Amino acid sequence: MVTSLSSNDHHALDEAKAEVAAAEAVEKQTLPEAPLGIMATSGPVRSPLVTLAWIAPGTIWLLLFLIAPLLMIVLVSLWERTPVGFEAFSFTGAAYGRLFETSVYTNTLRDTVIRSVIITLLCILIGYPIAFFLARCVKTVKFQIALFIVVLAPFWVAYVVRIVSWLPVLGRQGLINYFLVNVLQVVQEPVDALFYSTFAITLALIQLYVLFMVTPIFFQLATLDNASVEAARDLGATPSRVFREVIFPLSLPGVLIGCIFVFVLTMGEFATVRLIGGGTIQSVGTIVYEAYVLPDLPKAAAGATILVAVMTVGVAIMLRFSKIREVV
Amino acid sequence: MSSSESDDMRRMNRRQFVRNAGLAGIGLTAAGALAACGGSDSGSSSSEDTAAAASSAADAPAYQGTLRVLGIGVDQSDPIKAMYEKDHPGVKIEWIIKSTPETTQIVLTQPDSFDVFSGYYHQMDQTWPAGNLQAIPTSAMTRFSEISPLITDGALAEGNNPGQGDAPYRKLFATDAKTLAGEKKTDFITMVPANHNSDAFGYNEKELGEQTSWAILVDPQVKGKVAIIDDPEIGAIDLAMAAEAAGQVTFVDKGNMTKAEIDELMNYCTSLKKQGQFRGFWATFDESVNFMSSGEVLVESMWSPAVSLLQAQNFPVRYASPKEGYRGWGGGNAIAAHVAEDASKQAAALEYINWWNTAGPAGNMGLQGYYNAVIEATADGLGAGSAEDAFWLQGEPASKTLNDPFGQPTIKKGTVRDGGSYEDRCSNFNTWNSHMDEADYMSAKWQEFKSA
Repeated sequence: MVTSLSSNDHHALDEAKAEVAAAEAVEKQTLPEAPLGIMATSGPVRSPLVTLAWIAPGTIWLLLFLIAPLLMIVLVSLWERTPVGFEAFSFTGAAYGRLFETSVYTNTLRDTVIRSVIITLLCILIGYPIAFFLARCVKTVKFQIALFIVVLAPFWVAYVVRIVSWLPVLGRQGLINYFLVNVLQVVQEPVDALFYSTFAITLALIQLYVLFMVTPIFFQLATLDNASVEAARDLGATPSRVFREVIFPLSLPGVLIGCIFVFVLTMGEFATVRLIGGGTIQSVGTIVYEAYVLPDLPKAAAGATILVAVMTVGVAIMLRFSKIREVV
Repeated sequence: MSSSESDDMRRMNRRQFVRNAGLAGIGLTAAGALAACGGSDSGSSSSEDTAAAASSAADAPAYQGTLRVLGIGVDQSDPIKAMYEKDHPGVKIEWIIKSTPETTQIVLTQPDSFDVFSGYYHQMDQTWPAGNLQAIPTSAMTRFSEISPLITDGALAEGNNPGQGDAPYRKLFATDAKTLAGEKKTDFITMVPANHNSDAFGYNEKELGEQTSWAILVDPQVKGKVAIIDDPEIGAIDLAMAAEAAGQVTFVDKGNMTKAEIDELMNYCTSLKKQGQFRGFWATFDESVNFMSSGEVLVESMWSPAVSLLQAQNFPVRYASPKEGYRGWGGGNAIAAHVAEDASKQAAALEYINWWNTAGPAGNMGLQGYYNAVIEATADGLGAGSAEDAFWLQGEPASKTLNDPFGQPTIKKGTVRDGGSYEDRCSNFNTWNSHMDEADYMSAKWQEFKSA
């Protein structure tokens, strides 16, 4: 591989060796020679300052609005509670003690994770066919965009309206119960479990967040390399095999991004849970909110810290299993 | 504090309060300001200089700016704001509307973010010790002598049941800006009393017939059709009255339960919840209306205007007059400590909280079923001898259709107010909304109950 480099350019050779060493074994064998040569000999060398300038805005933004608040939450969770908030730098684990005083937090965290995983899986099941249809079955771009906007339509309706409108559908005197009791006559009394229940919350959250699944899958499928699909067909693959072995694997990054969106958003949900659950069902978010207004700010921070930790683990697991880097 | 000092403080009038607060300067709490005032006024023959300073500060330029009023929205409406701003050119009112627990949290943790706090007396146990609100001399109140004895002494008439818990008279008086005086009367108050009412449960009369006991909330006949207000300082008391009325749990003081009593009550309620007794817990006015109007519940904790709203739509809801007594609540307006730094703003804030005891706002609230602490203000606001006065205060049948303050017809001709007259509705309190000593424990148990 290094033979193509000019033999007197030892410096470049060293650099190239370093590059090669850093690369993955797979890449080492398949990387074309030319780019390596260009990189080592004639590529534009960017000054570190320029690089720094490029990464600065994003880094500062993340530091100020992500890392700093997160650190603050972790710190507050470890501080002493006072009637008016907290005593800074008085370290104690008492907030975690109060959080786990009853089994409410543990149970709710478990339920929230389970609910989020179920919602994420159902969002794939519902969202993937929609995205597939939009991206692969609709032929003209104009039509694709038009239909995509139709899919986005629920987002044009105010959040509260979308939530409140479930009541006339699922409520005791709602549409579905009307059919069950009066038309189909399968039950005597209206079914209570349809609303102010885990079922209702799951349904409402899927409706709210399925678009976060559809969108990334749609874009992934729409920009898919058709050459691979045609190659597979030319080699005699059945449509189902083309899907299983070519299209689906190539769309995985979109699925993964959708999963991260849906999982993280539903884990943190509290307003929908509050309204659709009728106050009888908790999420980690509602527990954190109630500690916040008590006010027990360290307890609220402790609840939030654990929530963030669990979300991070969840996302890490998704990244690990999907091997996104290899697919891309 | 010497007796001569307290005598001086008693003599201190409204103008001096404003002046001294203005002189108090940055960071000084009302207690400090009042102590300083006791000193400066101790010689009745004060020097020319002091007198001059007094007059100039008391006549501080009229406040031009915004008064930020923190509250839960019951008394914070567009008509109230418009009425105040029209009467007080140059002063703008900004409503900061939050849930009750949120307002407590803001008073404690963000005391500079508001000027006036429209709160409840049951919030005083938690907020007052922080020193973020000013102790207001009774002499600074324009109508202190006219405040209903219900608010100052606990009973409208001799022999009335004052009820357990945080009745206003137990949280009205303060020793200083950090200490409550309890039932002992002092010359300082925590909040200028504004609105109060007798709350009960609302129920669907068509389905349930007449109901007169809190016990209906835990009655198996309404299984799955009960909603409770989602606030342990109110909802837990509704449930305690219900459990007591049903003979299930006994209490020494429902307004300040012991841990054992909380355990007993919450265990009982949790077992009921597991059997499906409760349909939900509501946090906002609208949620309570939806629960009832959609048929999801037949009986629930409710507020008077929510009942009127549904009655106006011909929904067969009634507001109970429980034989065990009402759950009372009382509210008022306090001034944030930081306002004392600005004499003009201090004068404006004091003007605002005293304004609440006048006919305009009292009438507005009276049309929604609320009583002013100066009940004559409500009567004046509704209009002496008017149909409104007869209905809302006298308990007589409405002689015509009555509108709410927003111009919507809410009371149909011939209706009689549930519970009757002001005297009838305010003579029998079971328990008041209360903040208990074991509030943290109650909150944890409440959460456990809700997620059971």
